[in-house]
Amino acid sequence: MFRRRRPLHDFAEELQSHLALETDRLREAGMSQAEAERAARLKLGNPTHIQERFYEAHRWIWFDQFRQDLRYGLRQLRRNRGFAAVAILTLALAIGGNTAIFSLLDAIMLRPLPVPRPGQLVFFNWKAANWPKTVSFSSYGDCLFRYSTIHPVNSCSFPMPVLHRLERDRRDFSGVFATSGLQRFSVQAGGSAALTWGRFYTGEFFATLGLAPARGRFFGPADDRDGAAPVAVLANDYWRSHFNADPNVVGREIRVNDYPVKVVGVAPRGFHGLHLGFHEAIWLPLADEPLLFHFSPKTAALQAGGQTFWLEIVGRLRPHVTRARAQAAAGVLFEQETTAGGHPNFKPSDHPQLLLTSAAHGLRLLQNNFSSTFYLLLAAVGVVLLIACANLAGLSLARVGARQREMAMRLALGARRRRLVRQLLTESLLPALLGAALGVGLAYAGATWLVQFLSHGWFVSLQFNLSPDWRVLGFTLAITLLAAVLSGLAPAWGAIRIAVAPALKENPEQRALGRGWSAGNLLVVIQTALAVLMLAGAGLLARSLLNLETRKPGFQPNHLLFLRLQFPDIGNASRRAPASRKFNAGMPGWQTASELRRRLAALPGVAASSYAGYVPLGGSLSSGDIYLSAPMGKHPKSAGEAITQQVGPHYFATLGIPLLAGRRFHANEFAPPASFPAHPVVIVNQAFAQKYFHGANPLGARLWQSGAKHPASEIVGVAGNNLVSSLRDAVQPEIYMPAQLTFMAYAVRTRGPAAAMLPSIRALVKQAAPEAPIVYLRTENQIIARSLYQERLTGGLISLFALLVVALACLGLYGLLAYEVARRRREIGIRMALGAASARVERMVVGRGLLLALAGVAAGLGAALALTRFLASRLYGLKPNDPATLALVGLLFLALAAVACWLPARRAAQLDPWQALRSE
Amino acid sequence: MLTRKDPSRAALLQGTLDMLILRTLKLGPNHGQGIALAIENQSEQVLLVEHGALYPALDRLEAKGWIAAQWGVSANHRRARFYTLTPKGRKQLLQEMDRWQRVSQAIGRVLAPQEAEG
Repeated sequence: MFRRRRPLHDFAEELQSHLALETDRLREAGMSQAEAERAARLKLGNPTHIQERFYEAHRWIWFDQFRQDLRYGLRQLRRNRGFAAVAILTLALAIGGNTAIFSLLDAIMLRPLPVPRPGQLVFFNWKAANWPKTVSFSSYGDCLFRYSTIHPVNSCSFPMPVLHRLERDRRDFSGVFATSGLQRFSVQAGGSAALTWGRFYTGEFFATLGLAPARGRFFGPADDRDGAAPVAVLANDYWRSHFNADPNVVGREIRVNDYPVKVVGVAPRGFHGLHLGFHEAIWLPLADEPLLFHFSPKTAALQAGGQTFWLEIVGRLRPHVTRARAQAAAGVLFEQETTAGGHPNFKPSDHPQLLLTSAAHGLRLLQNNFSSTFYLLLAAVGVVLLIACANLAGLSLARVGARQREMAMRLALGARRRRLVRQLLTESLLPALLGAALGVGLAYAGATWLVQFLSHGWFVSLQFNLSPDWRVLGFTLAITLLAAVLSGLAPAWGAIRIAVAPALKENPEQRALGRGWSAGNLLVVIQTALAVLMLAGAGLLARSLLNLETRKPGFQPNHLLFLRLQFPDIGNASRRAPASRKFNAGMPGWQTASELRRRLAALPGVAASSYAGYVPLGGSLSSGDIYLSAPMGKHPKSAGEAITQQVGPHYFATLGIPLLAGRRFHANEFAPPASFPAHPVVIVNQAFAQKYFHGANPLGARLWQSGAKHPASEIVGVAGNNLVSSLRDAVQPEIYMPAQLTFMAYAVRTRGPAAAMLPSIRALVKQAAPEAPIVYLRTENQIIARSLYQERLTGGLISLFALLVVALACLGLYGLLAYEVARRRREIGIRMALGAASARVERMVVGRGLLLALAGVAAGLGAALALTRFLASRLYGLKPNDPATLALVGLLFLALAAVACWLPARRAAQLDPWQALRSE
Repeated sequence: MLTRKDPSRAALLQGTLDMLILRTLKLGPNHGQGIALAIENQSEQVLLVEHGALYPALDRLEAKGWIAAQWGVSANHRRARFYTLTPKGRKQLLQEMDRWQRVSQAIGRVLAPQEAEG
């Protein structure tokens, strides 16, 4: 391609020299000077053409032409500023939106873990026909967990003996480690204790990942043994932010959950644990867990045994070992251990199977939480991009129609059609490129905002790595080119079919464009259909959000707030196996904890205070079997299930739940949790009374709870129904018990706005329980808002996109009609001169526009009927094909379309026929 | 018009112009007009060289390094661009002549099969 540059003038000179020599020769042969010159010239042909051939052979000709086309395109854009602004802005929004969502997907799903050869890491899952026999089972959200009594079950939670078997058999794995899920630690390093996220890992963790410490050393198998001194490794960011990057941190003693732990090393920069998008701060050997969480020896023994499923396992395949081979080999071990080990969990007929999935992108907690939302949003912005392209294609089709003469002239002057198509595509590339440049900026801002929104709605701050990588850049480039081609294809197709002679002879404004017109119509119908589809989705999501927000929860959420603390010695008690609760009971923290409720209630501005096992609408609940007659035998038949809630004094008054019958709990029923009371009492809700007593008076009746070898509880009251874990819940039977346990969230009923009380409560906690860091302090309305964050996010964003695309579709319709009116000026003039009333002309134009809009609405609603079922799981209180919503959406769009049609129609009706005819 | 088609004269076959140029330059350096004239004369006016195609062809051969060019003065004292065959061009010429002979013999056999049999 690159050749020595011979100047064009040198070549031209050679042609001149040729003419001179040839003239000489012909003259010698007997011609006159004039005759000879003419003959030589004729034989050579057109020198300019020959020079062009020379020129094209010597340059990167397409690049040259591309530059020409770009310059020409820029001139065109400058000339049509309105068009340019619409084109660039819509493409910026569309490309920016797509890039923003894709970069989030990339950040949590596509980026590899920052460790050497992440492709070798595998994550252990299992599936079986039936649920395993266990004493305790923990799941941490890192796999698609399915619990069912009829269908096969799957999980990624394993008992310790399975890990030991895998550790011993090393044919396929160069390393295997386990972890017990994300933990919140109270870490104290000099100052006051602060909560931070971390995990326990087995000794091979760092070696398996292949990391090298930035400071000190990592912990290893020697640190992960009973009796070894507790050690910790800090994440690099945490070391910088909380230890001021202290170079002497190695060897320093910190307190974790009020227990002395030695820091042995700092992890390398960029490694934040096994979740992409979530940063852990501290890692400790798994052997330290019983110590740091004050497990009883019994619990610790249970966790080491085969009856407790509580470990997530990750392994690294040896080079050249396939996942399938490792899965088959390790699967045999798993099956042996769980069906024929010391404590069989499965019957052989359960066919427990081991499944290895890639852990190259880390554990799947965030993916499981966000990926379906991100895919939905990606589909939505994809539709926005399509509409933006269709819109631009329609607008530029009209412009090409107006430029028919220019195109025909170029063709007549010898331009190839291919060249014209290239020029038109380049012209559409220009707004796409400018839009993409603007869009990338928008994308970064949008993605950052989205991450903040998600962090706010989730329980913890998320740190997605949004710096664009090659996948994001490639994606953006690909959709930019796609946008350019899609928006340039229709006009280019029009240019191919221009008939030169008629286009030159006639005034293009008089000519019907033939089939070029129907392409314009089709584009408007496509835009309308997609916009209606989007509007239907937005309408459904918005209505179900409204249904959720207006749902009565059964308690008074205003003027209510919740406070949760982590007492060092009774900290994570409720997360653990039941056995650990009893062990916690005698802890001195209980005095502080129950005293704090009285001090909260005594605060000025507080009406009442209580505590409860879980926060209403906070996303969690516990439930169990209940028995209405004394449970007999090994497998007593239960009456059914009920939600169980442990509550403190004045709970019903604090939450504003009405007591419908019977009495509240007496003060003496809130005994310290040392033992179970001799005469336990419960309050049930109305749904419980209806389900189990069928309207009869339940007061005084007795019930037994699952697994309880304790005396029966007497029902002393009936409370109103309320929603427990989320606004989507159905009302369920519920039992309230006086709290036996101090690990609770405090509920505080304020007299004024709850938010105003937050500072004084924070001050009180600091003074009354300085050793207990605040896990959270939120108003109930904040908790409810958080429980709806995914609905708000998708509903809000999709409504925003819907507004945008409806505006675009109306603009497309308007543009098409305005262009048609301009083109048919003469025809309309003649009609009016012949006596057509302007109302009739108006009707004609509006009618044509509405016909297109109707076609689009019909197609859009048809698509909605087929596609909205994919939204079903996100809807509440209405069906995916909710006729009212769909009808409303159709009518709303038609109304907007009528306005878009009426504007050009009015212009047509106000046409002065004489002027229209004379201007020809 | 002057360029009435003369049925006895043939336009050059595609791709043969390069070979003829190289062959002509084997006799010694020449300028473009001279090359065209030489081809026409040597073919006894049967082959017709399109002057318009000649110069782009010369440029192409020069770019491939088969011929080299230099401005000089013609026999009748006109300034002209003279082309010479390079060693690379000489090799190329041998190859092309060899190929041409094989092809033309093959075509000859197809056109006159009896002789080929005999």
